[in-house]
Amino acid sequence: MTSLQPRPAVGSPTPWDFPQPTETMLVNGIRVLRFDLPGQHVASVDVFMDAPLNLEPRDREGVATLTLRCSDEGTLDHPGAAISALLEAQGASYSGEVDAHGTLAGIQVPAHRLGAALPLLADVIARPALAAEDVQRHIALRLSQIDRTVATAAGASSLAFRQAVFSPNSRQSRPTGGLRESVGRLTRQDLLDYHRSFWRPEAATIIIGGDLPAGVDESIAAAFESWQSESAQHSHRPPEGNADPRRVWVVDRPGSVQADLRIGALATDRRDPDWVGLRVAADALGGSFGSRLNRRLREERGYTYGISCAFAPLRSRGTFSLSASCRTEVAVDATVEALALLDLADDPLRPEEVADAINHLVGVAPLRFDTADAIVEQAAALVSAGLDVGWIDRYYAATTACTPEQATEAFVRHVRPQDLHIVLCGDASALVRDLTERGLTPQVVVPAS
Amino acid sequence: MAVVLDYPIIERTTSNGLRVILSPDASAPSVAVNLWYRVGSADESDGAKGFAHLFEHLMFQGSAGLAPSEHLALIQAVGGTANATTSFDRTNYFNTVPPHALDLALWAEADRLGSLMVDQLNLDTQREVVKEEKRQRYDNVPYGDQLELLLELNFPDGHPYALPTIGLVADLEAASLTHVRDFHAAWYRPTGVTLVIAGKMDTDTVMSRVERYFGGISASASPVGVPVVAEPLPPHHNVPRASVLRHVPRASLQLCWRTPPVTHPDHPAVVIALAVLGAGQSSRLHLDLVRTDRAEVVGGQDFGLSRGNSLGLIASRPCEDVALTELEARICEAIEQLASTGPSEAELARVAANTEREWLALLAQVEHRADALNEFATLFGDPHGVNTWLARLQSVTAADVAKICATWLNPDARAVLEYHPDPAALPLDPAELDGDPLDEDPADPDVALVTDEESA
Repeated sequence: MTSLQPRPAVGSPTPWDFPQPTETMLVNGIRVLRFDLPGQHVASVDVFMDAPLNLEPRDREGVATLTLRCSDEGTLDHPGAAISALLEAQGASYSGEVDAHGTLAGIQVPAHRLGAALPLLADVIARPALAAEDVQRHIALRLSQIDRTVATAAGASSLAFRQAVFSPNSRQSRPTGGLRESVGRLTRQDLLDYHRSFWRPEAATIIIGGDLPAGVDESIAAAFESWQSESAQHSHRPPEGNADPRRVWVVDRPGSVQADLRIGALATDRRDPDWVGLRVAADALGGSFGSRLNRRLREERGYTYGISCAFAPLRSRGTFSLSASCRTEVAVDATVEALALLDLADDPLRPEEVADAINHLVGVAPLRFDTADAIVEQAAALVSAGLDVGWIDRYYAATTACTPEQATEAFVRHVRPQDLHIVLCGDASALVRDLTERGLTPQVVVPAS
Repeated sequence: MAVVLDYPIIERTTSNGLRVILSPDASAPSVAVNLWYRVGSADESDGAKGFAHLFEHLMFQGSAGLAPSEHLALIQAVGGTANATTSFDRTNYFNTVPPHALDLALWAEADRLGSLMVDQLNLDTQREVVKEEKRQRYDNVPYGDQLELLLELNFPDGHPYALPTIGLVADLEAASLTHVRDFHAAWYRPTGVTLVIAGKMDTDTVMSRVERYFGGISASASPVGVPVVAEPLPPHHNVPRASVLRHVPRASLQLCWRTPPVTHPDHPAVVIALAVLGAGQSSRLHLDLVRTDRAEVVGGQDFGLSRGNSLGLIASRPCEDVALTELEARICEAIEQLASTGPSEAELARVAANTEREWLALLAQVEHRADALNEFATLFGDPHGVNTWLARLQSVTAADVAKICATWLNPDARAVLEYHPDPAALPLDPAELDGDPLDEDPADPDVALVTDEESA
């Protein structure tokens, strides 16, 4: 059979730039980045509070996450459920996230309701009640979440992978939300102390985007300028890796029909001159459907529903990781084959693979950033990483210019397959036997949770 | 001053009977190409359970102009995204591409509609991939058999919705190349699909391009497949109950109802009633169960099914030491109360405001806008529903909600699924195991609701 029509040629993409914000500063030191996005009827407002997670007290880890989760459970002005009723009456949905560098909290709201919603967001951020009963409830919910996490293969292998890659001295070796022991110890006072120390206007950036109504600057100022706090200095500390040689760990999950596989190591960050080459190489290897890993292990072997690899940058350093779920019988074969595919020294990336990866990474940008929420979220990620918003256009320009040699050499310099940690969560008896047969004698571990 | 939706909608048909809906948007950075084939797992015959979804995987395995697995790689390599999902009522294929690659997406979709080419090796490999998908999403995760149990509880044997879309492994094993050819011939026809193009496009030339790529596909003499019809089922009586012991970390409770199909005039009021009860931190059930330390989470949803009935659900997970019977009684009481007094104006306003945000946020992305247009075109017969849906939801009155709670969501008409943790037992059956989100640290605990879609 032949095609009815020949494959059409594809023209050139329209040049695209990440939208540039208008930057201002409120009298109390809050930086404001405003993205005017006509036609975006749903506005997004994020407040990023710079607060390195490594400054959580070691025996109170999880306090940043609990502070965020309790913040909309009542404020000094609108106690109890009153604040969420007021937010929801405006159609505002409040959510947030804690990462290694700080806390992001914000709302999505129909743009025409921003004027009414902004004071409520300011109230949640500046004056949360953090009432004892809400703190207790959220501690119980976090403990339950830990139970549910470790009951899954993916959750258990993520925990183990952190511990394999990062030194116990580093906060990154433990989950952002904390482990059972430190979470169970938290009190209301811990959250009050944390909020006072780290949710501070002079460490905060408001990022707002959407079809913004007239007067939005005044609304922001009126809502947030009365927020005051004690000043404190803090610094971000790069994470440390484990000094030991490669760890090959098996987390036992009896009766599992699949093994959850993680392969990876401590890696680098966006400021590294190799960063662009690494992102391109990771995309060609495991960032798209046509990547080497997915093509071989899914489309040729049928070993998995999907396999991917990526670099996850922190402000300094970061991780490289590969993940997949495979049926137990083939999990170790898949591991060995994936490791071989990560060895680019003998099989450098071909020009067409690199061209596809560049087109994928750069071309997908306008599709990814087509809503106020996506633009605000990306800008917030850059603020969290300590970078200016212009960084993203420079990154795309550098990506477009990346050569096959540059991508291969960067990857070979940073990723040494023989040193990568390996974590498999599944039926330990089969996995230990198969790994040992392949010369990867594992240790069976129970990750701290 | 709520937003008035006015997405342009242009309806056309090609010379060979392909229904086309265009929704141009000059401000969009991309263009979405979305196809809904009118065949889903509900249309599978006995012995072929799971085939519609396996077939969807095979649609990526090559055609006259495309090598196996080339379609997705090709779209990604021009900076686009593509995928497909299968559910009970339809199979959809979607591509979002930069405007300069619109022709490529149209050509690729037309090529596999006109000339799918699958060999035994591709079939065998994708069968393994689908079995891995089943293990990853169902067999190896906690509560992984929830959808299967819910369907069994609500739909009798032989009903089009009696089994999950993922199907039965034995039936997948039996699938042959003959089945693949017959299925393509029966369902994958210009007259069996609706094509939506939404986003940035040249409106003067777009139809001639659709005609160029799709117009030559022969409209075969035999009639296109007709979706299986199901008669409405009566409401439950005597509270059918499935109580299972599983290797799960917590108990869970699902109250479910045979609700009206998505096209029924009562469907919007069902959606609003479930939102008054369970959507958001100021919903009745959140205040009564979660804020009072009885439940960790509660939420409601309707599956939006179209044949005879849909399925409505209120799901909750108790706090430690709280009995499921207490949760169940309080949920029933909340529904009875809503039936007798109806929601307050403030509750309706809250639900309206949140519905507005959710709907506008969904439509802000051309990919989802195209899918919504296709859902309205395919299930409701009219794509303009995208512009009027919000107004329909917001026109639901307090009296409508009260009536829904006394009828479709009447507690006496519920069925109940209970999970109880079995800490003593190692899982006996692989299908009774665990797993969950890939992210070990979701930002906020949320209710784990079930999905009825399978992706490629």
